[in-house]
Amino acid sequence: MKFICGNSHTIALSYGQRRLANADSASLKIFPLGSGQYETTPFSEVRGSGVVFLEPSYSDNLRRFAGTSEIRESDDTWGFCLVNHNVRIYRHPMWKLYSPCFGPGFESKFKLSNAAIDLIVDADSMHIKSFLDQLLRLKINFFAISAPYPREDHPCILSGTKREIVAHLDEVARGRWSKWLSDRGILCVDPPTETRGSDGFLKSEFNAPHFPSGKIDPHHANAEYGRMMLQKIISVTSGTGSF
Amino acid sequence: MNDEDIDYFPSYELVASHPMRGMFYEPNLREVAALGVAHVMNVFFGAHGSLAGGVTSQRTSSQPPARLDQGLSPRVLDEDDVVCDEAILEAFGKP
Repeated sequence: MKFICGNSHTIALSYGQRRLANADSASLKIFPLGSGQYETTPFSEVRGSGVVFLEPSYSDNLRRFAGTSEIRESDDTWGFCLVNHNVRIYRHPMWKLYSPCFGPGFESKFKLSNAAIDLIVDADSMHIKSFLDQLLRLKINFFAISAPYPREDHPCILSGTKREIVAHLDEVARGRWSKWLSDRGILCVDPPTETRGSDGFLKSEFNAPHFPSGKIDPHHANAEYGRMMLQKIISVTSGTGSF
Repeated sequence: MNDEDIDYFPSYELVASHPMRGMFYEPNLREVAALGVAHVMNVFFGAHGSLAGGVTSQRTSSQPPARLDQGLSPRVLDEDDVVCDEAILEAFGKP
């Protein structure tokens, strides 16, 4: 089987699968593990010859959608959409007071060194990296899937965080993720370049629509983004024999 | 500073700078309140990862993630998390 799972950004991929509707995409099982809020705590560990989830919602959804309680070496291929979920970093209200040392738009802020920002970024991703290292250790066939670019209508920007700072933090985080993954030989599928605006934000035509209740979703991408991303995932991974 | 292994952590500014409006002090305006200490430590551990690294116990679904900044969590964090949960429910339904 071919599984794609992860945080709430798998939703766009699932909607995209319905639009793509071809043989390659139909063979994929796409499902959420759960909310990304649990990615900042230890959420997985190796037990015997498998990786299990410590976070109950992830464990429940793995069983519900994949019919298994653990991920182990097999003929299955896994795509994990957990990488570059950088909203946790840039939405923090500290960025209304603090800023990176250098760059346009960073004036009149308390300055943080690049080393400090690297540490903040790495602290956010440490448990996702632990999970991916566990998969590597058990020789699981997997690849990583990146989250979309930041939304320029995110509440943190609307409430005063400078968009230049958001773009900078996202760029730093993506760079560090990219190096970490390539150092380990982990394939990562990044968002299609056509979805990225010139300033590093997701183009607005790829914003998720409002909920049926009318409530705004200021965080996710839409089905068309999912279609393009899924097409890229199939294209990139088929070239490597992963899918 | 030229040594890249040495960094400045602005704990004083986090408590005493004027945008904080003295909110992290005790009423006597001399001692830092527990809330102020928690605020500083939250930023510190957020930057250095020690809090998350120290949490190893297994949680149940009824327990929220352990966070030093509980009680100080900005509203936008909760709203984002709710949006993620709602979007997942909308797309995949309840178990």
